[in-house]
Amino acid sequence: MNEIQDAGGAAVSERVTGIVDGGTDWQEHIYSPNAAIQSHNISFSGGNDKTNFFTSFGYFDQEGVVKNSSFTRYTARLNISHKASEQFNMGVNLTTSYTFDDYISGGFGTNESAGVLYAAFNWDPTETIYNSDGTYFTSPFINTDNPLALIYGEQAVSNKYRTFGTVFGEYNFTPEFKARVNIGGDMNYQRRDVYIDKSTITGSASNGIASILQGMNSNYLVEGLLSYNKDFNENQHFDALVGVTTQKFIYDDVTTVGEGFVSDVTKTYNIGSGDPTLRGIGSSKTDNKLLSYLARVNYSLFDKYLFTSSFRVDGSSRFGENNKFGYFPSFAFAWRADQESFLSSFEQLSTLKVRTSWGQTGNQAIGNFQSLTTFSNGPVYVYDDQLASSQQPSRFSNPDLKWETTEQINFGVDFGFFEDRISGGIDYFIKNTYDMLLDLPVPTTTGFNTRTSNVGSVRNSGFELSILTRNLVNEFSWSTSANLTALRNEVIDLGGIPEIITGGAGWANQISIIREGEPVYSFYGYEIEGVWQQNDDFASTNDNVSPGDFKYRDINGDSTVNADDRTILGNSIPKLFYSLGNNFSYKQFSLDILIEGVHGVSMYNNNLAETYFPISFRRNRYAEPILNRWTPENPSNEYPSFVDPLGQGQKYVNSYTVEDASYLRVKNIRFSYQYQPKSAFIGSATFFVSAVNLLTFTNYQGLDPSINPNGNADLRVDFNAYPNAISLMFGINLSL
Amino acid sequence: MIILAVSGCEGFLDETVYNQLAPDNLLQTEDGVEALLTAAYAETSLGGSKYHQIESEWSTDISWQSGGGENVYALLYMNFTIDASEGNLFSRLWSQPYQGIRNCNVLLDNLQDASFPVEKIDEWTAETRFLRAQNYITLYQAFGPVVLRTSENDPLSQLRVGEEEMENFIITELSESIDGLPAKGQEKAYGRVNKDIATAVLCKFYLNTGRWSESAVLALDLINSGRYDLYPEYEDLFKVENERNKEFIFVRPRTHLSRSQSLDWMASAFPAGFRADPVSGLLWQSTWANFGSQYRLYDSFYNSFDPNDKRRNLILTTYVNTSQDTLTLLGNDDTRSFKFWPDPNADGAAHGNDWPVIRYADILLSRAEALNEMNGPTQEALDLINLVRDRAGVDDLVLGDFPSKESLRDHLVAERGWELYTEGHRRVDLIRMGKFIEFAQARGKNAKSHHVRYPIPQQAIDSDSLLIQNTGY
Repeated sequence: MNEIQDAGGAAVSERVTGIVDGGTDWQEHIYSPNAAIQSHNISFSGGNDKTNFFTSFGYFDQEGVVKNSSFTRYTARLNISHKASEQFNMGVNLTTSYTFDDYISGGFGTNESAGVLYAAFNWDPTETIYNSDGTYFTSPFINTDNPLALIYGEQAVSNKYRTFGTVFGEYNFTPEFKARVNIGGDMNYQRRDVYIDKSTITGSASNGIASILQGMNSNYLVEGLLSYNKDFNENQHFDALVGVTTQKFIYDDVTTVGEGFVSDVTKTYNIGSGDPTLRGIGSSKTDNKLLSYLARVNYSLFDKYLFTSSFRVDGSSRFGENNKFGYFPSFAFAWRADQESFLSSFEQLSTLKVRTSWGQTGNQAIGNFQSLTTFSNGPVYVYDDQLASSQQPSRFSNPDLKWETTEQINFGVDFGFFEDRISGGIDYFIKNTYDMLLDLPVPTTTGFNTRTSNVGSVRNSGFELSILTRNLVNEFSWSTSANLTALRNEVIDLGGIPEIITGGAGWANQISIIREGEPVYSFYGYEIEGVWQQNDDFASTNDNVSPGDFKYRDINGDSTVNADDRTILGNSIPKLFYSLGNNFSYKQFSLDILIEGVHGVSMYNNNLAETYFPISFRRNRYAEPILNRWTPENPSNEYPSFVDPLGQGQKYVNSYTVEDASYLRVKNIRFSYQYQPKSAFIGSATFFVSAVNLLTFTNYQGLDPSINPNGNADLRVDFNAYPNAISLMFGINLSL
Repeated sequence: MIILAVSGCEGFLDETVYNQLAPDNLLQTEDGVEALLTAAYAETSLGGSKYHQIESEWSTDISWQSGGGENVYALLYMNFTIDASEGNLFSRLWSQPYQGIRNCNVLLDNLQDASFPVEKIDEWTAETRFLRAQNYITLYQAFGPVVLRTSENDPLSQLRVGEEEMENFIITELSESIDGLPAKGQEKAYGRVNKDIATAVLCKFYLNTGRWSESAVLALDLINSGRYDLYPEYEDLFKVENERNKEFIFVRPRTHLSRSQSLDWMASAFPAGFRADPVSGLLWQSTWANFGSQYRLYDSFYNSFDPNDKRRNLILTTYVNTSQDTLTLLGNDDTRSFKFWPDPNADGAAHGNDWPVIRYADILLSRAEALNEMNGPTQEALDLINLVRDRAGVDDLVLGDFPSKESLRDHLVAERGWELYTEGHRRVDLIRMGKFIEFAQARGKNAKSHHVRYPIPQQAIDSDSLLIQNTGY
């Protein structure tokens, strides 16, 4: 680093003057080397010919991969069914759980709002943990707090209580004609307590900050169904169903914040003892509703020709006054060719089924109120040196919003040979999603940037292939299952808009593009051709570049690299998913090995972007590009000199930082032994040992190519990700 | 059961709004109107002020920047390589003013047929029209003439107007709002607009558009009002405890209670590891923030001051760091503007010092400039400048030293730099005085005549097919 400083890459004050206390591997200090997981389950079932019950109790406990974090869950379940008469059945299924989560702050925050992982990735490894007086060292070079202060000084816990269940009653008017009513509910109550104590930078500035969030997230369902089934004769079977479903989702919460505490001891448990002038409160309540009518008919002829048709009318409170309801039909046909007499001579062919279907489904996954004009809390202003709250328009409302529709066409064949020793299926599908619910750009002079609208269409098409072979079926048995999915995603139509550039992470914004003919959210940035060398022709560029700087591709050939030279660099949707499972068993021993992978997918590696474009000199970075950087003596054409990393501006998204995130992973290996004692008390016992995520093969440089901490599955961004652990498990299953 | 469920569904899917307000329950009450007006004030006050203060100097002879997340875009301003994709152009200079304009238009549309007392409607209307005009000034100074929206019922997509229409609109709006606004001291709260503020804003707008006599007249009105005076000590003028003085005419009120409405300048002015200022004795407080993004002054600017100039005393040239070493900033293009002296109650980056937009010294210098542009150097113009120089402890100017209009204009370029540095004026001043491109080229920058305007942000262009980019970009 000092050599870079010598070359003019940083101020004298940023020079590394020594490695304090031998330096610190911050990541080593935040991860627990051996985090234990325990899982216990016990269940009972029983009953008589009128009443049956099932009950279970579960316990799950996991120490966090990051220190001072843990997760504990208790679950109890009770199912009862009772046959009151020949005509009437009733029952109840209930599950209740309590979850305690001692979590770490994370997310996409940077600098002073960053969490533990960002801090550990970015803190200078030449610094020490503690000052001589035992307090946490704070660095003059980065205004993120000491990673250990963030672990031990920010206590964040969540207590969650969840109860969900259904009560049902079923009445048989005749053996063919039934009515059923389901009434269900799912209630999640959560309380989150966060206390930032005085050992941290923010906590010491405010003398401790306590915040409590209490929220209830619940939904209720009422459903009535009528079903009729009839065998007209031995060759014709018919069944039909009609029903109505209503569901209501309610969310409400209260938040309280206090700061300025005499002591850290009371944490969030005496929030009123803080500074009375520095209290904050908030509350919210929203709900949304669904109402659906459905009908379905199945008809089979000779048990060879199978027809299904259904029709749903779905209503959602989220859409415009005149567009609440969407209409979604579907049809399916299957032919069991192996039942045909003309194929019975092919003895090797044990199964052959040909399927095709067409159907539509709806999507209402948008926020509430998008069709209404409302006002919500605006920015604060200062009157007479006091803060004043405000109200401003919440959105550019769209009263014409309606359901997004996905139309799927499917062709498939199921096959089996040699008494199904070899079996499998192959499917081809096309999914067209149209009237997509997108936040569409509107003229920004309106004071709004986007408006939720129905627009354009996207097509997902592909193949799915699955094969199961039973290779050996003797005392030693071996079976193999393989799955392969090939997928292609393409934006077909954007309703006249040329493109939408969107998305951000860390310091980078506008990282992806939605453009007709390309996969959604394709990464959009600069192509790196190499590194400027001393003998290059610098007259060919108008940009301010020196030997050792990245050479970006000047796509439009105007001798300057700017926003017009951005190009598509990959996307987040894998072209191929595959998995291969093998099971070996011998007597009571069994071994399962599962390998899975994805291919043809990219991810934006924000930590790599911070290596190439550090916002300040004394930040931790990936070692290899720095150690092999360009110098006059080492004229690398791969790595830059790092002397003036931001000299060409904001080019975070480029062909280096958008990395290939394909991988092959040994997902699971499980070895088990089943013990069957000749005892009256124990039915059987299975002992097992398993390993999850044991080995991963990838060219991806980040922690894990399979994670995506970004909320959008179609835009993969690796940033401050909570790492996926390699876990080893030992267990016993007992049945009595 | 099914029949019950079906018949019970009438209106079931109506959307119930619990936590937000609707036009028919917000804008029918005075508190509701005030709440929307407050949002218009907040958007107009340019929160996140350090960007707005420094944006006006990165491309000038006073300041430069290094480090931090801000460096990514600071370089574009400093090197005249800015293009339409720079994010702050959109979020801070384009989107925020247009959000303010939207809030004003919603309010004005609804006030037209509201059933409040006439004098209330008149005052709200005047305040709102002032705020809307102020946002159009922000847009005009950044981008040139833009799309003029005066009602929520305007068509979605519109062409940019011409320069003359833009200027006439702003002048009319400000002139008419002056009538309806309360006199100074009669406004509902400190931080709200009054007649003098609108007068001062119009005076500066006249100046910036070359309407010299109109500007000189309004400046004289303010000078003759007797309501304003220079604060005796320049070094104390910007301290948080000296707010509400007789010099500040128009401020963006700031508080340490909210980062978004604070003055966060100091977090980028403290040099790395700052612990003490050996000259003033200022000591570091652990409650203050010091960012990686560092705002530095050119030595050529520091050295241009008269050594006796008190205004120079607010520039830090040496400091003591965490290792107790005394480091020299002068000589490395690294001196720091400590004009907005740290607020002892600051919370992190949030300091409470009010940000003066127009102060009395600016009005004095503006009238001097307008008189010079009209008549060339006169004793009256020099007397106005000398009022400002006397307070700074430097010698009076004498008429004999200024043979031409150009020579006094050149002096005013320097004088305004010394008086108003890091307050957010420099870019507009240099453009008005014709020095912006010349100075940048003298610093070796590839500045071209089109750089007096920023490019219309790409996101705005993408959103509206009628929006035409500025020439040169």
